[in-house]
Amino acid sequence: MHLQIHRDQMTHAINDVSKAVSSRTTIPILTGIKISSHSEGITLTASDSDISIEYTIPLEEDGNLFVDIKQHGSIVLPARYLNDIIRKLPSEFVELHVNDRFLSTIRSGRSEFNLNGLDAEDFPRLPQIEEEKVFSIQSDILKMMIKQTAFAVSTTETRPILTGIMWALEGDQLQFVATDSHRLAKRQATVEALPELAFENIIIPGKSLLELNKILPDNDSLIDIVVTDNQILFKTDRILFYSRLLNGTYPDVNRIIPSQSKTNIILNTKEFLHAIERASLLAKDGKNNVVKCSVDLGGVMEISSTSPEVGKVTDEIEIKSIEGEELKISFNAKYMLDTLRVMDSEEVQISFTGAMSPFIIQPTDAEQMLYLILPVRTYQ
Amino acid sequence: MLTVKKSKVIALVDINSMFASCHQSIDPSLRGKPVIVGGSMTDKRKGLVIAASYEAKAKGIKTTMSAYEARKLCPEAIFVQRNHTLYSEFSAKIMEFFRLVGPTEVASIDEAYVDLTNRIQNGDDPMVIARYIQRTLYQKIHIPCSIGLGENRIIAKMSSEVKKPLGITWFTRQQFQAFFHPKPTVVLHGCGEATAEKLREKLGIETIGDLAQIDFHSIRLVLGKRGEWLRLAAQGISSDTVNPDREKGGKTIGRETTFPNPVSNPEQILAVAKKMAERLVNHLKEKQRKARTVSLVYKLERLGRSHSKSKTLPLPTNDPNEIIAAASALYSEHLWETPLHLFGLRLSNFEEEIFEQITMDEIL
Repeated sequence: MHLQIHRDQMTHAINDVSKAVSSRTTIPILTGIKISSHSEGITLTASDSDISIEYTIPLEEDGNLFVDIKQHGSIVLPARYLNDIIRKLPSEFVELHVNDRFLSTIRSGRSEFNLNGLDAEDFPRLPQIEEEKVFSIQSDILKMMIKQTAFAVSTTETRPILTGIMWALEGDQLQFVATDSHRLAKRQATVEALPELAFENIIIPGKSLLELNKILPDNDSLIDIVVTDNQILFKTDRILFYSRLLNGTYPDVNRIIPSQSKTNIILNTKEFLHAIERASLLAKDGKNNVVKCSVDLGGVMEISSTSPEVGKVTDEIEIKSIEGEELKISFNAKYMLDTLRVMDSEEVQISFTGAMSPFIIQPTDAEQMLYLILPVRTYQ
Repeated sequence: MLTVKKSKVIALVDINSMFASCHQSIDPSLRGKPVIVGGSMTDKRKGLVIAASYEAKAKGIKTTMSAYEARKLCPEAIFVQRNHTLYSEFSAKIMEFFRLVGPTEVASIDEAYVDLTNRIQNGDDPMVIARYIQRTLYQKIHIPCSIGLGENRIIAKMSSEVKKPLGITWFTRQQFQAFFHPKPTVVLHGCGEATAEKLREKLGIETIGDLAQIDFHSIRLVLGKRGEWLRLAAQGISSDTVNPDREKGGKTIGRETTFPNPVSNPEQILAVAKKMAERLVNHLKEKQRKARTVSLVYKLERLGRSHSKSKTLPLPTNDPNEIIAAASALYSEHLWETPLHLFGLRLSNFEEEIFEQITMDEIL
């Protein structure tokens, strides 16, 4: 194999595929990135047990030359070194030459590196995906949906299914649900799909989606999505991103979302966020970060928190509008902070149904988002 | 020149009915009355007795009894909801006071060892100091305590149990032996029901005196190192060091087991882990605590040192399934099919159970 590659293009590709390189693995070849050439350019591939990413650098684009192939071939090079080396090389192009014993020479300007590579034939093949369930969504909307739900997935292995985000598609509505059984995030968006396409209970590891979020562009370009029984594939111009799906049935969360409420209030999102942030300041190392809110019909919400060894904090904010009964409720401040931080609306509506029941937080201007938090019982 | 080993005097101060006493302290209308901490806020017949004042105990109320039973035994009892913030505040205040008296080791929320040695060497009388501690706590904050005095920890600890409430007992080692040797082994600090049963079955030991006289090798065979320690305790011998840095209630709880032949079968290891998790969780629940960190302890060589791998959970837990899940995640990540000579499970990073997060499963 003998290639010339545009350095910035190469850096970008390595950066993106590195998200799938496993740092700890029992299969040594997976700590590497596979580079292979073909008639349209070169493709970089990395994979761990959950995700696989393929990035193709075209031969040229808009008249700019990116890759010059002198001799086709493929090689696996250690990701850690490759990343650092390419980034620091002095000139615009990088020359990669591989001999028949996988010894690779990387040259740029007057620098030369010799790296031991591995046989690309030993690199696991990526899943072959039959494109049956395909739909498209704007990249920026998909990123927003991930950001607004992924924080709620479970980070413990008690119930592996809850470490994923559940996707359901019906008509042109795509829905994401995430919960760790203490709080829940639900987000809907319109997609481009054939009307007969529908699915539910597609559960994608939260980690996979967070990695995907890092490499998707922040614009309205369309991402094609292919869903199969055990894999999901995301396609952009240059990237193929595969994730495994989680097996199992997602709990029927609609049953915990109350349909009626006893106390409805509207608050300014920022004011509420800042008050909760202040109330969390005394929580020691994030432990027992519980705040108590009391809603009175006079239009004031009192927020307080006590840390036994440290002290107590009380804060008040104005309630913009209130309907229903007075209420005192305690909840984990972190859950509220996570939720308020992903809300972009100026005001939020909160609907309570008693101190021991889940409550709903929604933006006042969009019906596509719903957040739910389960309160805590206190013994103090 | 001849130096004489300075004899130590250790006090163990035990707050009588700590939880109930705190409530009686802040609310004078509860004083002298049977007060029960616990029960359910919403349903009068539900809930358990978490603590009871001496007035309530006199009527036969015991902790962990159901609130329903307690009401039948003592209809005039006043139920109050537990308030851990209050107890922690009182405890902190009390410990601060002890530190003015001497180096203090906080043993639990309602118990501390205070080293009086320096005071004694300055000419003070241990009984006078003990009376001063007891009187001050009672007069200033209406908190009763019992104090045990002795040359070491075991004598101080066990003497404090002799008279409750408001007792002060100072035993020499001879007095300790005379008083405790006729008593059954379960009375001995550190000897639970299970151990007492083992001693009775395997060695025919009934009393603390029997245990004090058993030969060293027999006890070692039955209870190992802990047996040696218990035998010495029965004789009134133990450490006399008070460690002011020790944190209350211990920092970890754990169990471990050594295998006669190294075990590499994941199923076998995970079955052991599951049993351990269940026992540790019972221990946590008794202490009304939750743990946040789960650790595996293991030995790769029989005589080598032990290693550990830990994982900290996002929220403290006392749910055995969560602990088992964390333990098996640690095991599959680090030790899968590795031959282990020793395997153990440890919980640490405790928090008092002041809050309880409601989960989806309670509602679904």
